[in-house]
Order: sequence, then C-alpha cells, then structure tokens
Amino acid sequence: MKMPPAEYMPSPESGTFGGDFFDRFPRKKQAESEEVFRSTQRIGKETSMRQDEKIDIEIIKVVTRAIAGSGQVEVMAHHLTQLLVAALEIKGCTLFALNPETLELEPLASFGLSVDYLNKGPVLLDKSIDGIKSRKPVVVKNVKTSKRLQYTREAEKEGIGSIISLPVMFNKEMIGSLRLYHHEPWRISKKDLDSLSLLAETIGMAMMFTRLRHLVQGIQGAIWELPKVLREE
Amino acid sequence: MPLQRILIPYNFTMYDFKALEFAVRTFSKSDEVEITLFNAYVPPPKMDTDENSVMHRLKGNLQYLSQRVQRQEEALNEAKQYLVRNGFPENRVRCLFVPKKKDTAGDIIDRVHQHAFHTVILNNKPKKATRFFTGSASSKVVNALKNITVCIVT
Repeated sequence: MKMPPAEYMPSPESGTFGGDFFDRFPRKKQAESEEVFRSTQRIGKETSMRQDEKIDIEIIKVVTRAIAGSGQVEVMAHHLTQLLVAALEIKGCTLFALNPETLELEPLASFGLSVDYLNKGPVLLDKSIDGIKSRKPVVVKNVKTSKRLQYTREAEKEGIGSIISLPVMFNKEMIGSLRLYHHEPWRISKKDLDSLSLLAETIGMAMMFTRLRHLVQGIQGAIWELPKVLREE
Repeated sequence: MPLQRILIPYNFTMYDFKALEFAVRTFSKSDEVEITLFNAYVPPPKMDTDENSVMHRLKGNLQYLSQRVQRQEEALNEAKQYLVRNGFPENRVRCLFVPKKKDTAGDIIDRVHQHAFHTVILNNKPKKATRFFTGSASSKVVNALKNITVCIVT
C-alpha cells in the first residue's frame, strides 16, 4: 500500500467519508458543535458513527519494540514518529517535550511536516490545541473549521486536515505531547485512541528513563572532575 | 593564509538559521574560508521480514519514509544556497548529509576530527527542556574539542 502524497487532502465534502453524519451536517453548525472532543468518554459516544480503525496489536508491537530498542532518545523519538506515520498512513507526527518553566512544547522529533510548519513559532501549552492542559487526548477533527488551534492558518497551508494530541505523562505529571497530523478529517475510534494513549504512557516512561540517565551521567561527570583525593573520600 | 574550514551543524530550526546569519555576517567577506553544512539524519528503522500484513504495509511505507528523508537533503541544499546568495562562493560551501551514528554532539565531534575543521558554529537556545532528555550538545562539544574555535549563537 502506498502512502498518499503530502499534498493529498480531500475536502470534507469530497465524499471520502460519504454518507457520514458530519459530512452532511452544515459546516457552520459543525463548527459550533463539538468539533474538539476532549475525553475518551465523549469520543465513545461517536462509536455509533463510522470510524477508521487503524491500530492493531501488531502496530503497537512494532512501535513499542522501536522505543525499547533504541539506546538514544533522539533515535527512539525519530523512529517512533517515522513508524507512526508509516503504520497509520498519516501526514506527520511530532513528539514534544514540555518545558515546565516556559510551558512551551519543544519538538523532540518530528516526521512528515515541512520545515516552514515546524518553524511557525513557539507551541505554547495554554494557547496550542485548546484542552491539552486538561491532560486528556484532544481530537481536532477538522482543522478548517476549528477555532481552537494556535496556528490554524499555518496548519491549513501545510495540508493538515485533522490533529490528534495526546499528553505524555509520567507519574501524573505532563512531560510532553504526542501529536498526529492527518491529511484529512479523521474520526478516530475509541479503541484507537485508547491504544495511542497507552503508547503515550510508554513514551513517557522511556522519556523519563533517558532524563534520569542523563542526570546520573551528569553526576558521574561532576564526580570525575573533583580532585582525586576528594573522589576517594 | 591557509583555508579555514568551518563546520555548521544544521537542523532546520530558527536557531540554526541564526548560525547561518552569523556566518554570513562574520565570514562572507573572507576568501579563505570553506563552510560545511552538516546534518545527521535518522534513517528509517530496519524491519524484520515478517509475513503479517502490518509488516508488509510498513515495509511498503518505509519507501515513503526514505523519500521524506531525501527532502531533508534538499532543505540542506536550500541552506547552502542561502549562503551562496549572501556572498560565499559556491565551491566553498559543502553539504554533508549522513546517517546519524551517535548522539548529536558525538556526530559533530567525529566530523570535526575526521575533516580537521578549525571552527564550529553552534547554536544554543537557553533553558531548553529537550536538554533534559538529550543533554546539551553545545556543552558536550565544547568540553570534548581542543584547539578548535567554537562559536555559540544564542
């Protein structure tokens, strides 16, 4: 199966999801209605509609092994984003680390998005996808009609149809975010969202492991810089 | 005067672009410099040849991933053209686009040793959160290199 070209982005009315409730719903009302689903519970209500199920245990296995098999966080993060783009056949994926001081989401790795889009400006936790602060998955089902994005115009220009944002948590603290960008509006199933949330938890553990490892290495380096007589005390 | 070889690690961010601007301001008038733009990319992971459908799909899509990686090389060439447009002779600007072998700092240090660069121009965004996970590349490079000029653009 080939990936669609990056430029491919059918409009919501193109019939890709023909016969679906949302495609027939007037756009104005659609924008007014709940376009951003903030919790798995509310998304669960959507299960009566036709939804794409993209994730199965084989994909989880492949991606988890890639995370576990990389010794460096940079390689792990890049492989993660690459594999998610390939496995889910989406436009792009970015793994962010949350800066606790500035509350900026800083990209740790990204794949599939243009340089211009990545350099669009700082991604701020309280201004970026509304609702991410609630530490629950957020689905921006249709970028074109959403009023809750920090960079709506840039997203449209990039050819992004929908965004799924998942908090990356560790010990109940948000340490980052995993974002998936699709060419077209995407109604993700509850099962897929649960699978991605589980994956985000695994990523959180991997990120925290590398953070602690760097800390230990830093302490080790500081000890080695001490005079020998102090080291041996 | 011997040719001064300058290495600029470039990862397509605004801070990397600041390093390019610094190079233009500082070295574009000099005839005795050669700039190398360096990017170490992460190649797509190698997949085991499993027979299940997901692996087949992934394998097919990995070709797409490779194409996307090639676009990175094109973006690196665009950075080269920026330098050329701003005063550097084309034959004095090179691009080095290679697979990542170590962490960012490790790859930079290896290149400096291999190609005997005289100067490295790095960039550093203060208080980045990602340094907690990856470590500070500029600190590692400064600590590891001897008899090399390291410029850090902030």
